Amino acid sequence: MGENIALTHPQYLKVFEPRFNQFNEPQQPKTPNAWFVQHYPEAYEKCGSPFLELVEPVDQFSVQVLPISINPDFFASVLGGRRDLGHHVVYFESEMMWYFKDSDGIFKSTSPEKLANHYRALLLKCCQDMPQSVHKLNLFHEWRGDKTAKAVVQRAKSILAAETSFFSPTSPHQRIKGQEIQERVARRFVESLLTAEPGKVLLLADAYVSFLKLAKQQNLELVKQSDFKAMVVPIVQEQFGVRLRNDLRVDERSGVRGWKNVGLNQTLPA
Amino acid sequence: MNDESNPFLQRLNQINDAKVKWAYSEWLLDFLRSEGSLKPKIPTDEELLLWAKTLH
Repeated sequence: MGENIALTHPQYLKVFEPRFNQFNEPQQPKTPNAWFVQHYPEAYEKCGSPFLELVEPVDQFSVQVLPISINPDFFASVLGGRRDLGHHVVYFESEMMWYFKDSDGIFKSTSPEKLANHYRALLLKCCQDMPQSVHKLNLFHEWRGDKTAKAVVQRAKSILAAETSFFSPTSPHQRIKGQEIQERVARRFVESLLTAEPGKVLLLADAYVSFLKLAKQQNLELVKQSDFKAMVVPIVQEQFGVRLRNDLRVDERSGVRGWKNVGLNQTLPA
Repeated sequence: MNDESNPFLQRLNQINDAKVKWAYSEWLLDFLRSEGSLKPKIPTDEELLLWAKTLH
C-alpha cells in the first residue's frame, strides 16, 4: 500500500515538523508525530522525530497519514518520564534494576515488563486521539507487539542509564531501602559471578566472602552468613539447577556446605 | 466581572487544571507501580495547588 508510494514519492515521507496556526500557537496534534512531540518535547529534542510518516495527499484539502517506521530511541527517552510532571525513570546499571520516582518523591523499583506496558499504553492513547485521516494499524498492532516493546525497553537501558553515584548518600535522589536491595545484589552476584562448571565445588563460605566484597562495593549493610544463605540458595537453584549440599568432602574435611558444578569468578563487576 | 478578574473563579480554574494534571500523572505512574504498593492519598485542593506549583 504505502510502500510503493514511499518509493516513487519520497517527498511524502516526513519526520516531525513543528506547525503553528495563524495566531502562532501550536495546533492540536493531528498526526502521531505531533501527538508524541507535544507530550514529550524533551525526547524529541534529544532523539528526534518519533516516527517516519507517509503523508499522502487525498485531495486538494486533505492528506492521509501512515506512520511507517518507529524511532526506538525516541520511545526509550519517553520511558524516562514526563519531567514537567516530576516523573523520572532510570536504569541503575550496577544492580541491573529499573527505578521510577513515585509521587512521594522516592525512587521505587519497577520492571522491564511494566515499562513495556507503559510504552504500549502511550501508543494506544495516541492511537485513540488520532483523527480518521491517520492509519492506525501500526500504532495499535505492529508496534505494540512484544518485539518492538522489548526493543524499546532494551534501548532505554543505555539512554536512561544512571551510574552508581545516582543513589549515593550525598545524592539528592532517595530510593526505597530494605531487604529487597540486598536480594537484588544477591541475584546480581549469582548472575554475574557464578558460572556452571562441571566438576567444580563452590563452598558457601567462599561465596559469602565474595558477596561481602560486592556488598561493600555497593555501600550496603553487611548481612549475616545465614541471611546470605537464605537469599542465595533459591537463586542458585533457579539459575543452575543445583541444591546446596551439606555433605561435601573438601581437603579431608567432611560435611562441608556448598554447591557442586558451580564455579566462582573472582573479578567483581564494575 | 469576567473569569480572569474573579479570584474565586481563577482559583477554581487552577484547581481544575491541577486535578487534570494530577490524574494524568497518576495514570502514568500506575503502570510502573506494583500491585499492593502504597498509593498516594487523593490530595486536598490546597495540596493539589502546592503540587502544581512544583511542576515546571
